[in-house]
Amino acid sequence: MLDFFRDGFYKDLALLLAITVLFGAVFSQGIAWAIDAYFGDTLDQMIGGYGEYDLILHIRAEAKEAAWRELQRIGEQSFPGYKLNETLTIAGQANVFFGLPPEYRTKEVLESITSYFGAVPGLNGYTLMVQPSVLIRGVHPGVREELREQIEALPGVRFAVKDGNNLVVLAQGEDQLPQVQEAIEGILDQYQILELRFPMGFAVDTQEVGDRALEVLRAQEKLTGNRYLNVTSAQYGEDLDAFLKTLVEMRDFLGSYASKVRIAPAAGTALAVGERLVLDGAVQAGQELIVEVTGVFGDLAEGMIIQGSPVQSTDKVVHTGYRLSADGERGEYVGEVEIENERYRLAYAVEESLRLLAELEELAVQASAAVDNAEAVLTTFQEALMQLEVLQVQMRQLNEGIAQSEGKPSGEQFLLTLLLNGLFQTLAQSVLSSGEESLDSLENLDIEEMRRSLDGISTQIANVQEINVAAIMEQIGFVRDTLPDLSDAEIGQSIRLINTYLGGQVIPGERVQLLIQGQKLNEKELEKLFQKELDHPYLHTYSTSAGMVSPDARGEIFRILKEVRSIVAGLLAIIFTLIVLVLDHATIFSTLKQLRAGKKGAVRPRLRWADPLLLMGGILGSALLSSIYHLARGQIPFFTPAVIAVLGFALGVLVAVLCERFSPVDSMELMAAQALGLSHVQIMREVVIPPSRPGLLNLLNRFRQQF
Amino acid sequence: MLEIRDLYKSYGKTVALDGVDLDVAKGETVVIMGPSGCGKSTLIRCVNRLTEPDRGSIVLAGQDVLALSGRELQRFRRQVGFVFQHFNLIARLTALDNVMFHLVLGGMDREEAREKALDALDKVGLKGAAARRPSELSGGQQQRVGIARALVTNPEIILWDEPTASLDPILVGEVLEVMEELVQNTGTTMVIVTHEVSFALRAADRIVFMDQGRVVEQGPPQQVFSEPRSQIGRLYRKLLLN
Repeated sequence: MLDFFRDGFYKDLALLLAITVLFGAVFSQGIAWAIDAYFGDTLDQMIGGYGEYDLILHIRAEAKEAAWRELQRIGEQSFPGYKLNETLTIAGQANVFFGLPPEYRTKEVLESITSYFGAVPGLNGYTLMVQPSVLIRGVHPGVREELREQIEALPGVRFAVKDGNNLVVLAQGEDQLPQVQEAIEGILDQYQILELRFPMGFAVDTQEVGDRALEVLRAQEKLTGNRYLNVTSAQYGEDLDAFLKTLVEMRDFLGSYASKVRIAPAAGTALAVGERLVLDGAVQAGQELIVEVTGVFGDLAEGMIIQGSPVQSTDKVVHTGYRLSADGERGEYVGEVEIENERYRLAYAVEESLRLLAELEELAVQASAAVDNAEAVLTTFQEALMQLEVLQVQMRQLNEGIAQSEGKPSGEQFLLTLLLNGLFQTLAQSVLSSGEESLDSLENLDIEEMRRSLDGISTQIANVQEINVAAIMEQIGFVRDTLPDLSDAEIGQSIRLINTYLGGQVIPGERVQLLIQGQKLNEKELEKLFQKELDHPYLHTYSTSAGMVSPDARGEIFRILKEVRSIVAGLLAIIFTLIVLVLDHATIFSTLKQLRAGKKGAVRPRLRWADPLLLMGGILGSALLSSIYHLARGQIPFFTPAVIAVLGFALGVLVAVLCERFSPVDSMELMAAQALGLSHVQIMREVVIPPSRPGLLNLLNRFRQQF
Repeated sequence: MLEIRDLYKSYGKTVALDGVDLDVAKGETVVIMGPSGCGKSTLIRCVNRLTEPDRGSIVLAGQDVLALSGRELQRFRRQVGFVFQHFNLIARLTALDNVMFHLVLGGMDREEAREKALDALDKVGLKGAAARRPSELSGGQQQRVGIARALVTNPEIILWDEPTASLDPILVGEVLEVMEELVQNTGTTMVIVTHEVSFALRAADRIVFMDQGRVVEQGPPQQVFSEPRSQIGRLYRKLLLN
């Protein structure tokens, strides 16, 4: 086969290869460059030149005109010399570019964008695109200020501005950006955020666990040079996390507020989650009560009312349940369904509390009056008792006087004695139970103690009266009025809606975040250590950076454009190589096949794939594609130089195998040319190439062709 | 002039030439006849190495043909005229260019080559069709261009590979006429593969019958047709008599 090239065609082939590679590279890169330039120019027209605008304000399309007027007003009032430009409106959102005059590109202004532009009608947010700048994305709040201080101390840095979770670092000049970026990356490289994540449902005191985790880290001998900080306070700082947590709480609240539905399936009846039951029995007028099964636990199931309202009762109400088919038909009996109307119970309890409080206030007033009366009675009683005692003494003295008088008492004296004794007894009996002994016991009554008790009661009643029952009643009334006015069906639908939303979301569990400055740690190595030391086998560790330097919005677009250019160049290189192989090299391969047809010895089938022609095709394809791809600066993801070489080889082999289909050579003309004693190069130039497919080979041959 | 000894050629399991020996004297016209597939065309293609024999020897004008390679082989081929069954003209070239282009590529001055080519075309009666392309010519005319192309170099030997086999019977005559004229007037050594029995009888110095890759009989036309010794000879005799 080499004879074919020896007599001069190798020069033609070498020239063809060189021009093919050159042309292919220029073609591929040229078109890619044109695409790049086109989009670049389009972008420049859309978003202005580098540093021309500092803000993209995202405004609802319908408020665009009002926003425009307001922006003009703000510009004229606060930023004389401003620039304003409207660009694309995408999905109902207009994007307006605002350029600050250089003197206003200050830290103070850039950190107060919201205060300047917050009142712009229809404003949905803004994006900082001030230049020249380096954007650090996802800066952890726990290290933001520390980073900012260090970054602002870097040479070439004007200042750093907080923009949401990002830091925008303004450089003094565009030419200083690379070194500023490198220095920032160096600073960020010193930091690491180690995150300890706990599964959902585990209640963890993140502060305490974080401190313990720090102790574990500090106890590691090999990590003594590091600085550690618990920065867990930033947990749930992200809006989505907070929103999801709120949703979960809301769902739980609604779940507990809804009527409790317990289903006792009849023997042999199996229920599945999601099935619907229609209930018979006491329901509110004109409504059918439909329940959806939300859980099955052995012999019991739980459900949720999705249509109708249960009767208002504080007691459990039992219904009979029937399966409900998809088309709304009532099916077979499935068991008894017990419903507790929690919502009604709560409302009932609140109403009763209000009644109780109203009664309590009245009761306190009346009790206070009763105590006062009791005290007055006690005073009267005490005075009466004292008079009785005096009378008793006087009686005793009278009796003793009569007894000590000489001679018999006179009839008057005796009658007086009897009269006085009788009167005393009557008085004593009217107060106490019996005679003189009772009077003694009356003497033993601790009137003072009783008075102290009454004073205690009086104090307590006074305390009760001091309670602001009216305020309590007002608040309970407020609670009653603010209780959601939702039917069970509405609650059920809301819970289902929340579940549907939550089903597509990842709800993070508790997490502890530790800032590490110094030597980088391997989080996977530490995972087991933490699991053991913190006694939590389900804990997982993750490592993130404290922030990530990324191109600014404009730089990002141009980076993507550059990637697209490289991909387009790579694809064009592959396509060009294939075209060249088919148009030019297939002709050469066909000729070689024809020429060797009459040679000695046919290729054995087993050696078919070791065919020198296929090998030559593969090598040519590989060399062509690799060279063109490299020179065109093609870069397709996953297409390493080795992959490109293999792909080129495969294309070459494919074309060599199918060469006679791609570019057939007239065997009779070829044979005649051989018979006439033409050299191979003459055969190619005069016989084979001229009628071949139009390509570089054909084009180049025209300069050499004699006939 | 031409000495072929013990020539073998096979295509896979099919044996095309099975130890062929053949001598052709200078100026002799040898007609090779035989049934299709007997190896006639393979034999003359081996002579100018369009087909490579497996073994044997071919000596032409003292040159060991099978030892030639590269430029020597190209030079050798220029000394051998070859007329193909299917004319094998270059479709994109005119009749004149088809006749002269290999002269120019061989180093001849273009004008001289043109003169020679026109002369060759004149010999085959096609000078007036010099500017036409093959597609504008009849089959017989195309073959005559092919003959002119073979003649133009004044070769030492002309090999004819069934020159009339692809022609309409009406056109065969004009080609055979040219061939007979050449045989009689040029004195060039010719080896002609054909089935034209009457032509062979008139023009051949010697007729060679081949069958199954071997030479089965050869001799002067009157001898081989009057007293054929081989089956093939008898068949051709019968054909001639019919």
